[in-house]
Amino acid sequence: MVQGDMSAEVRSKLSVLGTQAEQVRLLVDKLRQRVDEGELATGNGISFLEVKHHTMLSYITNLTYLSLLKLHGRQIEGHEVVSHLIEDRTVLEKMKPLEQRLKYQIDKLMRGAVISSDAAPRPMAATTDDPEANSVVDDSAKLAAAMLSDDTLANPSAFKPNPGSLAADVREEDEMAIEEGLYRAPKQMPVHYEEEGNTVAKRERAEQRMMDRAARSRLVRDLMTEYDDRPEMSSASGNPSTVIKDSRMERLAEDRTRYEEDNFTRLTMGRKEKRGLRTKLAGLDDEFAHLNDFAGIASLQKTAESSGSKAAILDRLKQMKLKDNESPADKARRRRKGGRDSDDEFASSSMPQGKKGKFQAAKRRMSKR
Amino acid sequence: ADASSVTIRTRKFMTNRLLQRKQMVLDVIHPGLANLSKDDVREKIAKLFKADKETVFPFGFRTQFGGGRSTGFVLVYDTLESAKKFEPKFRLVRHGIGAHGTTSRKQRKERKNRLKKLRGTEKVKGKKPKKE
Repeated sequence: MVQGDMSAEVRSKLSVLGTQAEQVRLLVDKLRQRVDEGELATGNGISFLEVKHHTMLSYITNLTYLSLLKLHGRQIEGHEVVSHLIEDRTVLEKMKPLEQRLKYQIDKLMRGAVISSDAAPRPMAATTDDPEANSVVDDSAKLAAAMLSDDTLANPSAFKPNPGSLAADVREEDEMAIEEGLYRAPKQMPVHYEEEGNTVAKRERAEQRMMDRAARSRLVRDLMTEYDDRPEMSSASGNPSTVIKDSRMERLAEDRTRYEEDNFTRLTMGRKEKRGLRTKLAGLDDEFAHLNDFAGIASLQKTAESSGSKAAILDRLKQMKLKDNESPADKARRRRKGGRDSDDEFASSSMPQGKKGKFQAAKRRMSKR
Repeated sequence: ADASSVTIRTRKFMTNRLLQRKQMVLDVIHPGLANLSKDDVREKIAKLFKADKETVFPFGFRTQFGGGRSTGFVLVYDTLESAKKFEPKFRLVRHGIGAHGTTSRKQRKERKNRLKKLRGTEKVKGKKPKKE
């Protein structure tokens, strides 16, 4: 080794390097001894990794030779070492993506090897055994446990294909039936019927519409006038007509005129709308009209079940009436606030109440058994 | 009857430079009288805005329930040329400026249905008689 003028620092570093190289050599000798004695079987390993190790070794050897040449001041240009180095380097670079692809396999084999290595005195070669086979209280077992207790997301080799689930679920009775030759229909447990999303939404909307219509019905309005504190409104003509100040209709008309004036157009009124307008303007209702209009009772009953007291029902109906008469600003505010009255179609009180009901109870009993 | 007791009020006035016109909503208050005709409205607006009677186009007049008041829209163009360019044909015809189409509606529909049976240049050039 050429000493020359080297500073003390470099010399100390070199001495450290020397001692470390000595230690590594001892380790490698020990390992080589074990392999020679047959303790460690190196025959059934992954050939890919073998190739990698050999190429790496030759690369390092050539590199050291090159640095040796440089130190001795020899010419490197055109030396065959350089071509050897280039060859080895290219091989290593080409192996890198392959190694990436084999990473999963290698990890699995490592785990299997680590666990099964201390189960028996003669360690087995790395095979695709079930990693959860043995649990031995040892250092390597602890390591194995650490590897297994990894988060499944971080450790993707925990997911293994399960070909057992491909087999059809044939139960005992069915098997026997198939054997006997006489076909018996399979007894199946009743399952709750989940309505499709579209029909559910449609049903909810229809119920909401019924509730709104009930709130405006004769029966409900009479109830409200009976229990309301405000002074009663009556028409100037003395005719107790049902519709004195229908603010909903007024609001609709106002919206229509606003649209027309903003857009410089005239909107046409459909046949149904014209008919509705005509009947409303006729106003031939008297006290005895619509007395048998009991459409609202069913929805009132449901509200009674859910809310309970009469005051609660009246409050709810009053809210609904207010909803009809509110201005667009109030409507926007209510929608923004959210909660029960925020026009949510599914926040109706008519949803099935949890696990009550005969069918739900039966289902619970079956699932318990 | 165009008596002097008729009041005209304009609302939502806007000068639309893009279409070279002034547009507004018109409120005509005529208590006890019938609705103002479109011609009378044109005269009044022309006097009010010092514009030509021919460039004033009223439309969409609806009388309120109970009478006495009607609401409609009015467009006042800068020139007759811009009016001819931007107004829809039916309103020009109403004022006698535009020419009405000569073909009747029935004829037009029949022609369309005849052309539905042809394809490509036959629609333009007509069907060639089949050579024997």
